[in-house]
Amino acid sequence: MGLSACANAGTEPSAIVGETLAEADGVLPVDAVFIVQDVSPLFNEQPTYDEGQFGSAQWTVVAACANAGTLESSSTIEIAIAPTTVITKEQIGAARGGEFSDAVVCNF
Amino acid sequence: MAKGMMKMRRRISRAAIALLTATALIATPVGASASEGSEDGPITTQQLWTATTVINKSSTSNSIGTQVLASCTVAVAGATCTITSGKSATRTIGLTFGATRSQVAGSLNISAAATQTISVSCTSPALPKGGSWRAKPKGTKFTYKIRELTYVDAIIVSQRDSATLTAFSPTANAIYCY
Repeated sequence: MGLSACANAGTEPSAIVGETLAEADGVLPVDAVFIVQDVSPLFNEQPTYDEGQFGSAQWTVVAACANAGTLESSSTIEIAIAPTTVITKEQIGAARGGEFSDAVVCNF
Repeated sequence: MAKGMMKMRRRISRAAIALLTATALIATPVGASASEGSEDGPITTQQLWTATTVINKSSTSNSIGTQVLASCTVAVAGATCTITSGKSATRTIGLTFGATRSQVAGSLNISAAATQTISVSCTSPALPKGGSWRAKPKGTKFTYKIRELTYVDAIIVSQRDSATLTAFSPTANAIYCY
């Protein structure tokens, strides 16, 4: 019988790529600074995100980074998002593979 | 004679303390000296005190702090940046002459706490590739001087003023984005 070594290890920023903001909200610290880039132009859409939509399922994370190893321990988190209704499953898969990682600069 | 000297010393000390309390200063005893008694008079003790106070106060509300809370650089042409902050901004208070942070903060009627949590967002317009969007805290900027007074017993023997000092107190829910 073995014990899991993964309890309380934290969530790496890459873990929320491909998730909606609503899904990611559960692991985002409440007191961090969030830099949210609306990269809708990458998907031929106009940017429409505003702060009132933070945590909304209408947006999907396509890239993420943070100033610490895990989101829970970070004080600054940068994410790039695109409209959930526009992004395809293939593009979500590409995002998880790092296709859009350059969309965030992470100049912390 | 010994009882008389003790009473004199207590009267002098009480007078000094009463004066300093009435003027709301922070007083610090620096030292005491005693002179040798002679056939004609008793031994006396003098108390040396320094006290600091805040003077020449002025304030400007809606000032922009110098601290950058967050900075966003756009890698995709036409993208927007939204900075959402539930972050602590720094409260600065200039000190000198041994004045304490709580003393100056009380005089300026602001919190002495080192940080202020602000919670607010701002969204940029569509930016060109490489464009940036930054957020700084807004708050009240204070300028003032600290005056140091030196007393021997209850008498001011010297006074010196500091250069102009500044303090910045961030306002909750207020940031400036540019």
